[in-house]
Amino acid sequence: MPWQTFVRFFFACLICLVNVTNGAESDSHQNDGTGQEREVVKRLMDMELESLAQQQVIVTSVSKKQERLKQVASAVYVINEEDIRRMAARSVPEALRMVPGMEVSRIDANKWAVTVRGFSGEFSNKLLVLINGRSVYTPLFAGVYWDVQDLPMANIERIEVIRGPGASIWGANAVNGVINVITKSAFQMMGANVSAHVGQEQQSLDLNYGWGGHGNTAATLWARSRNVTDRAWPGGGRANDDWHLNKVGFRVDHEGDSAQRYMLEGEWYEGDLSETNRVATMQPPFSALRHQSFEVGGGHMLGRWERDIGETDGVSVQVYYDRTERERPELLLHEHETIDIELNHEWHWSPNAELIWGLGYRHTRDELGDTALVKFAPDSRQDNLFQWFGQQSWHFLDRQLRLTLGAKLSDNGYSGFEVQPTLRTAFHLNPTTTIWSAVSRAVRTPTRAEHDVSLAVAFFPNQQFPGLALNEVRLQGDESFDAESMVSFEVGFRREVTETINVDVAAYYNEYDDLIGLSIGQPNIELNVTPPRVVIPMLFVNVSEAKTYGLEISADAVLHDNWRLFSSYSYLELDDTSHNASENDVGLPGFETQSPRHQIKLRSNWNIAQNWELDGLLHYRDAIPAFDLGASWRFDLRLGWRPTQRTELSVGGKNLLEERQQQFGRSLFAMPSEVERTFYIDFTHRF
Amino acid sequence: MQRTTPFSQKPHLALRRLVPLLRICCILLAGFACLPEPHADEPPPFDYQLKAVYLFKFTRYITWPDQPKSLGSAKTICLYRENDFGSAIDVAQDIWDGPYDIAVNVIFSDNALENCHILYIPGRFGTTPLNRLTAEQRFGLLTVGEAKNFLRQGGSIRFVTGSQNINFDISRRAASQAGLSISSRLLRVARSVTDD
Repeated sequence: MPWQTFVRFFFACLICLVNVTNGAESDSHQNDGTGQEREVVKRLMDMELESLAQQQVIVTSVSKKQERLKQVASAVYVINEEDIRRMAARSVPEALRMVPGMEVSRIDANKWAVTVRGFSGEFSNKLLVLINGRSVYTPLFAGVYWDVQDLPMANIERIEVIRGPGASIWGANAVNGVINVITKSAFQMMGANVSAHVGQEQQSLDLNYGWGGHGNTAATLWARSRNVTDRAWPGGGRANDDWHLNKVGFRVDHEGDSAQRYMLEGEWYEGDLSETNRVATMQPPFSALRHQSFEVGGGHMLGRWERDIGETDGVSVQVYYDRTERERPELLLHEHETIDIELNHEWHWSPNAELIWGLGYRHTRDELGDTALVKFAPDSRQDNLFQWFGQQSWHFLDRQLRLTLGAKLSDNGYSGFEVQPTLRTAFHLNPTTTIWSAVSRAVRTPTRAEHDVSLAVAFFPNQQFPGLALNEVRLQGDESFDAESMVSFEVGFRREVTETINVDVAAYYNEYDDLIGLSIGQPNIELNVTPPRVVIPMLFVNVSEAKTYGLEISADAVLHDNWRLFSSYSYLELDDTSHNASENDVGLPGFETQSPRHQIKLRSNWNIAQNWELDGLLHYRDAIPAFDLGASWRFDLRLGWRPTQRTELSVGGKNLLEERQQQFGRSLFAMPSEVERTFYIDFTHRF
Repeated sequence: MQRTTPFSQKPHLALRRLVPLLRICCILLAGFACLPEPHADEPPPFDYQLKAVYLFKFTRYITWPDQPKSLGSAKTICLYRENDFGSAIDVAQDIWDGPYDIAVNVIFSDNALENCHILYIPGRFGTTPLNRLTAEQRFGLLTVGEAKNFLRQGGSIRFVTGSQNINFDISRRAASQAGLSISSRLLRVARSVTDD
């Protein structure tokens, strides 16, 4: 396969390059700390005193600028690299488990249902996921291919999770939340790092080598290889959903004159995945389980230029190209390319007012091949997306009160012009307490599938028309399908109760309109297919309405110098309020019962002795009636030993309370498999 | 590619799939094994990098009394007995671009306090070193520590490690007794300011 040749060639070049450059590099090392440390200290030294006091809790995803977590008018949770390490998370969805209110379910070994505030599913289309500001939301079906968003976890600096709409900044599809994965700069990844994970469920190896951190430029090369074994089939046996993925990547950071920063990063990947689907067949019993293996491949390049203007203002330009291809022989042959460019400008035009605005343009092109069950018309499509956003903030009462008004305007090829405004307030009662509120509108734009797909979902015998033996139920895209919309009302409260205890509370009420449903069309006879049949079309229509409301409470505490505890409780209520459906219209069944109503998460990080760590995560998830899944508990435990600061060895177990656990139900095609109790050993060494 | 027996056991297939993984691992490990070991020092935990930067930043917001410190306008940060900051303090010193130089010394005797502007006492030493200081030694000396009762025992600034950040408390009375003037900005940023 060309990809494998390419990957081997890249590895060979990588190693040669590293060896060649290392000679010069080793001379430039000094005895005053690593480049990584120098970068961290320099970043801290450049900070204002106020920012320094809030260190570790600066977020950028809420308004595309640095803000203190304690003061943002949004429900935000930040997962830092220490959280990831001590959770022994080997993928982004695993790390997301610790976020209050986040629903993370594994459908099979390579498919996840990740969402927040409801509407869970393989196609969780109301959550926008970004990696360094690059959207990994797939416009084909409005979801995320989590299997290929597989980063070396040690490269992640933090994951910012916004629960609630972020559309006024990030644009369409940031309806229920935004996840922004922020990777470390090359300055933070100096030296060589090897991380290996050997477990019953998966095995992975991450390698990283960075150099040049003492000057203005730093570069790092990394590689990851991951193999995930297949899981248990609910009725016994194996589900044959194993997969593996290889990735290589690089990142270069440069600090230029006049407070300018440049960044260039890229990655390439290829992998083989397996899955078991239930698909429609033309012969009795008219459905069958199919196992198939398929290949995925792709990559991206992203460049960013930033420049500080004075002490507070700044401008940045980011450009990326992304390509992904996926060949599922029976279901989907998909190739997709994206080019995106955006400009952002932060301008403090008065001591108590600041404006952030930006422009963006995205061009997408795809090619889709016909399969036995799925066809797209047209089979190739190009679209343009134009975006503009502005967000103005005013400070009152000696900066105790902040009022923010913002909106995103966009024009896309599916639903046309969209406006997504927000109004937010944050009131800082005192240095330790903030109350915030927000009213926002967000939309989920139609996908390629909802406009252009033709998908056979069921066959059954025909007994009405002589000579036609078969009926076909066909999901049919419709160009009149419009965007789904939501109006959200949120309030929140954040308080530092004592110097070691923090509490965060958020409540929300969301009203959804024009949600997707299906309309049963007039049956028609198709004679030019084999065999001739009666086709019953089911068109995508905007037919449903819903409301959700809920509460998210989280608290973290330092109980002792060596023991930190994180806890959260979330409550979610979804109601289908559709009332305008005609006889032929049906909403998508069961969405209101596909999410757990209650969730409790308890995480403990305990340094039991010098160099020894004992960490655990206990997760209670309420029943999911749509899939007939009862309430469940999950418990993960990790014991870590750090004989030196360069070396770490840990052993652990996941899902320890149950031998096997089904976490989600059947998707459109994918059949669920079961998570098993597994054990692992992790080894990390930094040279 | 389709198979009609989807739920068969297939250990041989799993092993076969591991082959490319193992091959890549071997290539990479061989490559990395050939690399000379980078000369990286053990970096201290992030907390200490942050505290080291704080010590340097404090000098901007403190006014020392006029007194003959041997280095004139230059400042000296003294670390009690041990350097807990590792190389971070050297890096901070190297990066520091303030209008005056800052020296860093590890002191082993109270008699060595003469040139110190800041004295940092790690938490594990408690307040004993602080209690031993005479009023004369305290004058013109910003005492920074970590012990819980550090301020009650006459220290000026105490680092507070919270669940999400590292902040500090200030005793205005202790600073005043030491003849130090603290800027309003530093007082505003502090988690709490006591006058006891």
